[in-house]
Amino acid sequence: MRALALGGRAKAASLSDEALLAGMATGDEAATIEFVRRYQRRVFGLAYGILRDVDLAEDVAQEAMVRAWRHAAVYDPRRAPASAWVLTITRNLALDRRRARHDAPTATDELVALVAHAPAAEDHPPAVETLAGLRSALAGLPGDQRRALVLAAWLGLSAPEVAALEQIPLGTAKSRIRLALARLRALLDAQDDEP
Amino acid sequence: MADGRERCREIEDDLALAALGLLTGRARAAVLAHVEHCRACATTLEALSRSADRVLEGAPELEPPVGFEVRVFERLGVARPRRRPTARRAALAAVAAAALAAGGVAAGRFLGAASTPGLAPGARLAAFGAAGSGRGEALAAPGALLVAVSNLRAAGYVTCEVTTRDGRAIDVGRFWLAAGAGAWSAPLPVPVAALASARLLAANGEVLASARFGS
Repeated sequence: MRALALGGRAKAASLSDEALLAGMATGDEAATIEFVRRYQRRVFGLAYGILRDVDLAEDVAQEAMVRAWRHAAVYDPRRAPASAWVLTITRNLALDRRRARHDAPTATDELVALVAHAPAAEDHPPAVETLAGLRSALAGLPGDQRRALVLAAWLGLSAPEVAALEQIPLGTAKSRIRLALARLRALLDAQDDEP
Repeated sequence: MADGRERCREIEDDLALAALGLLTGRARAAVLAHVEHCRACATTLEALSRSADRVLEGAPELEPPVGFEVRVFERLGVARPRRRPTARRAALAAVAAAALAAGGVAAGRFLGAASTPGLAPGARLAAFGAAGSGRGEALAAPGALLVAVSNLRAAGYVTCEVTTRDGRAIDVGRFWLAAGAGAWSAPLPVPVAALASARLLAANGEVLASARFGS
């Protein structure tokens, strides 16, 4: 594989995530290297949040990167942003792996603290705006709903697991998740409508 | 007979769970069957899925063990990025040497390659002091901070924070400790010369180790 149109890693670093995937799809090595470097913390972080095991998380994170690379040619930027595509691949792999384990550890105080303090600012320019918008929208949720949502979304807890952790009835856990996601959708839509 | 609105109400919790990827088996099949012929719920599911995608982007980041990217490159058949020995690579080797000396880190697991040890020009070293027999080093090279620690009285993830000479505290990232030890590299967003100190914080904010950078 040789860097053809992209002309090297300096150029790759300035490309959007979508352009990186397009580059990977054509076998551009510089794009592939930049993609791995740019995404490894998010992909590993999400895998670890769901699996709570470093070795498994690394395994899943690797697999997610390989899949993204393999399927980069079928990624359609009109359907979802690149980050959503990559992280959804990661999430689904991690959830599948977690379900296959019968001794999956439950969320610990440490992880819940991680979730409460997340996310730290990351310095990749294309992502910063969307993260700021997301954080502001999450801050607009009632605390109980926000907690239920991030436990489900970032730690991969099922509704029964959220209910057990929060010591609430299953129906309440489900409602909180639903209301949180619906409200988040409204807040994000309102941001998108802003001039 | 098409599903009535009662069915839509029954299923609304599950739409959110499906958007989050948390529905499996029969419940998932039921949602998919419903949205096949209920446009309103299909639209809702699509919109909730877009929101769920956005939430994923905020998931906490965690630095993978050093060498992760090398292993991925190998799987992808990407030629290891060829570089002349640089401050960063020499720094990696120096941290590996320090970690080996500390005896707590299996450097082979973490590193891609070790070459000439020794402090490269433009790099600065900080030795961690920690409770008990905890020790480690942080090596700042242009654009990268490398940390290796062992025997820290903590497990789980830690946050690494550097402070600049003008007093700014910067979160460099979150890293995993296994049995009190770990080795990581992270992007360093400030010039090496600007650094004053570094510290490692436990999940609850407790300072586990701190270090001052030598000149």
